[in-house]
Amino acid sequence: MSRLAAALLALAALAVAFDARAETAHVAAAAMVQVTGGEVALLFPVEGEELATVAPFAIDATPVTNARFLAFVREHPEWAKGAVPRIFATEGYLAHWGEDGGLGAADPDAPVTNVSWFAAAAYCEARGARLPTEAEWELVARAGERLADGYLEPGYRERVLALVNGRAPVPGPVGRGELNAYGVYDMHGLVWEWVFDVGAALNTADSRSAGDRRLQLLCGGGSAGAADTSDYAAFLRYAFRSGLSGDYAGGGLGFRCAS
Amino acid sequence: MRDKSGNLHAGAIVGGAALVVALAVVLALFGGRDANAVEPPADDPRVQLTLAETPAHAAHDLTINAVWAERALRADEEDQVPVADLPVIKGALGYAPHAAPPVDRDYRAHVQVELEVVEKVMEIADGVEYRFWTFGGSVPGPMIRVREGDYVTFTLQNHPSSLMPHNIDLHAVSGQGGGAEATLIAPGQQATFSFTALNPGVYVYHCATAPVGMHIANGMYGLIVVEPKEGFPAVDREYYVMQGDFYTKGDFGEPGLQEFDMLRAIDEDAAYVVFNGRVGSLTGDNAMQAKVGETVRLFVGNGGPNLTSSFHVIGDVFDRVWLEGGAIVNRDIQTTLIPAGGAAVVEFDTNVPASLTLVDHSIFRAFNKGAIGSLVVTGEADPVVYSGRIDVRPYHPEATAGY
Ligand SMILES: [Cu+2]
Repeated sequence: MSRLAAALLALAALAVAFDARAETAHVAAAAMVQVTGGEVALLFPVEGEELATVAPFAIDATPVTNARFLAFVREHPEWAKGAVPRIFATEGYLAHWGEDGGLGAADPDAPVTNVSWFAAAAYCEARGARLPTEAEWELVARAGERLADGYLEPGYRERVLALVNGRAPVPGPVGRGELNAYGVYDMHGLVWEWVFDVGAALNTADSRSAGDRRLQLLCGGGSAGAADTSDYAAFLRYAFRSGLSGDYAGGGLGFRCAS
Repeated sequence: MRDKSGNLHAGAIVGGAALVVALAVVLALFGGRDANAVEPPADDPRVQLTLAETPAHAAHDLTINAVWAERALRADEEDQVPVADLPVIKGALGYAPHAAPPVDRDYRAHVQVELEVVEKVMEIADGVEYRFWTFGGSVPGPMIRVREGDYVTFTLQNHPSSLMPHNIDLHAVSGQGGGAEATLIAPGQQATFSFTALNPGVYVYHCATAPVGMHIANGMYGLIVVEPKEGFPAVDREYYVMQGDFYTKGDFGEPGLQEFDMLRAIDEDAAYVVFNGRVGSLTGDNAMQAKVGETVRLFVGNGGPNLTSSFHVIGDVFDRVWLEGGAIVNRDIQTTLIPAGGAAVVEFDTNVPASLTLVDHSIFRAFNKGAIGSLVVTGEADPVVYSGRIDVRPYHPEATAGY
């Protein structure tokens, strides 16, 4: 794709995002960061597709906060705590909020957690956006502090693993943690994040490669076929996604939107 | 072998028996003996090994060997009982250094086991903290003890406060990933599966979620004992010891909360090698106890993730070792290898009072990395077995002794 075309596409994406925000101004959108796209090596690539090509996209600079999700819930009461059918969210849905459906003791600026995939997707949709794909999310996560490819920065793997391991039991406010080369905050240090195609857990039945990946993540010999066996933080992420179903609502899992 | 209700198929038993008979025939032919001879000749060296002159040992070993040799030929009636008709009991657990209680049953049961995964900060040494990932809140996780043929319903729970997904691979389980695939759960979930304990023995269980090495290195392992149908011979004391190696940013003894060091783990450069998850878990006030004249059984596992243990007890000889936790019992052993992800049962009869020292005889691990424990034996001294120091005096070699 030519530079011009990419620029036009990016502009178009921005315009769409802008329109969406104008429509739903009450759900104040987080600042989005433009990502040029490119090729990303997934941890367990399908044979012959070692590099996934990612088109230019925009992604939230921070995870969605409790305050922003509360604004969404006020506008869409079908997603209120206690109103969501069990098939869309387990009973842990928004468990850290107050009993009245308000934030209770939850920090408004902390990432919203205890949200199911369905709720996260509905939030992004209401903003005219969507959840990032796994490839998009991994492309951004792979960025170092200065370079788009963190592997080229010494100590990247250990730094990211330490960020994941060092997470507080209750996440603090967004936008104060690590900042990567794209200008995106908190990819590793606060919470796990939903992706659109959450992976094996949602499609094992009809995807041979996803099923294989699931086994690779579970067995001792599981590193066979992995792109980089020393990227432990990546293993942790992929394993976490493998254990998920769309109704899961847990305290360590939030999301951000893309468009 | 087994249908869905858990029953052994008669065909499989007959087939197994036929195989054993065929093997016997082949052995007999090549050994130049009559295939109909049931008793091996008395001059067979194997018989002499079994009927060793020490009567107590001989009786013990004979029981064990006879039981294991007959196993393949028996078609147990109890195996025909449908799972639905088995009595349901709650599995008893044992927290190290205490073994789970002996099964003490002569029938199959439907055993229900629940294990909770908890991530928690604990001391790995005095003044040194580590963020452990645990089964049951302890390292090692609790010992599970069932009987051969039991139908086990296993529930794994991942505490909501966990950061990571976890699962369990029980080496005693025949099935995908030893249960790993069935039990992968995010924080705040629980998963259940069931299995039949087909093989007796002592088996490691561990978390098998990627990156597996990291989950094991953080303490996620324990033992499941599947007692043979006849049970283990009764002893006076049973203990549960499990070795593990740990990889921290700081070197051994460096105080404060220590992070997991991935590069160090990949290099197999352990900062700590310990018994039961902590330096000093089995020393001082935590030492194991026994009395003179008792028989002590240690269920010893090795979680790894990397290092094979040269397991040794200073000051006694293992009278019996169930090699690798399996069916072969060896005798008079000084040091037994326990592989990462493996186990052994060691037994010794205590003869004299002593403070016995458990070590990994890859000895720098004991003296510099923590792999040391104590078993204090109290009671009557026997100077014939061991005198203690009789005499001490200056020693002056002859000036002409070659210097
Ligand atoms: Cu684990």
